[in-house]
Amino acid sequence: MRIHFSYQLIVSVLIASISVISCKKDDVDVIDPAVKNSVSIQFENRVGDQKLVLGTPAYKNAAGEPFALTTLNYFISNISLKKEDGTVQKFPNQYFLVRQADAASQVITLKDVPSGNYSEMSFMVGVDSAKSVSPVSERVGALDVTGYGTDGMYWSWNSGYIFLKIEGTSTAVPATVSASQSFAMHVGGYGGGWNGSAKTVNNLRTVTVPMTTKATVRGNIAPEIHLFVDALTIFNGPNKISLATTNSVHMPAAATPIADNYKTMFQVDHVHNDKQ
Amino acid sequence: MTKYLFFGLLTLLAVPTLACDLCGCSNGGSFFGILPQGHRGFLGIRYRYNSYNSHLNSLNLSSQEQFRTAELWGRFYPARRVQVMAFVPYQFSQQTLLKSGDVTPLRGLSDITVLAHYNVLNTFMDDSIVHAVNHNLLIGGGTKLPTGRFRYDENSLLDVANPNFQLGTGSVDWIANVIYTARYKNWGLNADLSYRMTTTNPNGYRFGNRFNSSASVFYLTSLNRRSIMPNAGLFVEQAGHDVRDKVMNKQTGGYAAYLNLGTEVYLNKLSLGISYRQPISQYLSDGELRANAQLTTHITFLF
Repeated sequence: MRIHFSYQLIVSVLIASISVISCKKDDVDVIDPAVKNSVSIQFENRVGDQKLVLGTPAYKNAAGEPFALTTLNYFISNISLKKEDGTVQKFPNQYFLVRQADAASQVITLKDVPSGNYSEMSFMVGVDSAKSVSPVSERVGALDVTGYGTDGMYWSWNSGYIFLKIEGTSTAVPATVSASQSFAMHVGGYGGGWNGSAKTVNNLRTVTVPMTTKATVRGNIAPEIHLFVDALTIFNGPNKISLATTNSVHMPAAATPIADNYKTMFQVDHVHNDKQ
Repeated sequence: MTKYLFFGLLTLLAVPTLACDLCGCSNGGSFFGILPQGHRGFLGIRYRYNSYNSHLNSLNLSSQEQFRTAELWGRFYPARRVQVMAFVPYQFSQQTLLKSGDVTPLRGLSDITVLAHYNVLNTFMDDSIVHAVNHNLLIGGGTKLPTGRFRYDENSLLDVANPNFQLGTGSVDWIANVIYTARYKNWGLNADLSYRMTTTNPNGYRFGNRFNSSASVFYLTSLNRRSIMPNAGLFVEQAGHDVRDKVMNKQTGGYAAYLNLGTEVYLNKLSLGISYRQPISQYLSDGELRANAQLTTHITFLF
């Protein structure tokens, strides 16, 4: 945008902004749920107060163990938004895979959200059991088990998705366990059995977070909800995880403390309600 | 209605992004203030303090940027009717994250600005007639050079990865400037318009064009060779949105209007000044940035 060299314009802009502000106060803000717009949700992965940069050994957990992360992936599904009047808007059958290595995956967009003031959001970390056991033909997009390449998010031996995967390196990992001192924690288990075997534990977790600034969906406002996701909580949550002893998790039963930790790692940092 | 058309255009041009790059702008245009008496060269040091609060609605990123700039400034007359001004700023700034209290310093040479003006009209000098009101009009332009570091590494854990918290803009910018002064007896009026046209820096970042304007009234009272000149006025700065890699960031730019109060003191060859600016109306970075009061002082030697 260029600003023209004229006082007239400044004055008109000032007047316009003042009149826009005053209009806002005077006009009755009519919320028509038939009018829809989109809501985007940004997942900004962090480690404590620091940014998350893959491959950087800049972090330390509560056990005092330094570590670097090489992978952080998780599924988000069953999102719902709660209006200030308590009514809940659900977004079923939408599955998203957030990957730290892929910036585009960190912003997800919900379409056709009815106008309203939303003050709380809720979502599941993982893939619900009904979807997990549905025919392969219904599991497309983020759920396409052939689409992960070397960054697998599916256990073929358990017919289940890996809900969250965190991998990295730490000097705390005994070299006798892993020559490269790497760790890997894969959390899954939707509570079903496979081929008649015993049911796994259910590590599906639902997260509910308030929004201090309401997301005000209008015909001309498509809010952006900016979440902070603190990966440090995976180690430092209600259950303290030491990489010296817990560095290789691939079975649902062992993963429950980790799921209980990451359930608490999400926070709505701020909401943008910019007019379009 | 042109004003609504203007806003309509603004909206059309804005591509929404999720980048949260806002923070106090260290790269505000050089503002000249009421300059020491005309027709004399000068060399001095100016000190500016301003601060901003950023990410006003963020639980984790809310911060305050404090910019302290010590600036060498000078004015020279290489030819009749031509004045050249130069500003060499050095910054001692810092960002404080309000949640953790972590402080990130920012120190070093900032962007140098050089301007030349032609004295188009000067009724005091132009003829020998005694005018009730004297007019002085300077028209000029110049450049702002990328002498301040612009390092913007999103993946650095040490830097504040923000294009607005840098020593310079990294770009060569062009400035057009008009300074008008009218004097009636001891009273005077000063108006200053400055437009900065930016260019894209080597990092693919382009700051919005910037338009600063000010109007002030001053009163000069003298005793022997000593004078004092209190002044009051309005200062308005406006900036367009920044563009990164050809994507416009709506959460940049905006306007701020300040009430300006100050005084200049002239002691023979020495000039001292202080000026305080209080924001009275602003909308910066889509409401996510708040400019706080600013203070400028200088000590200048006239020759």
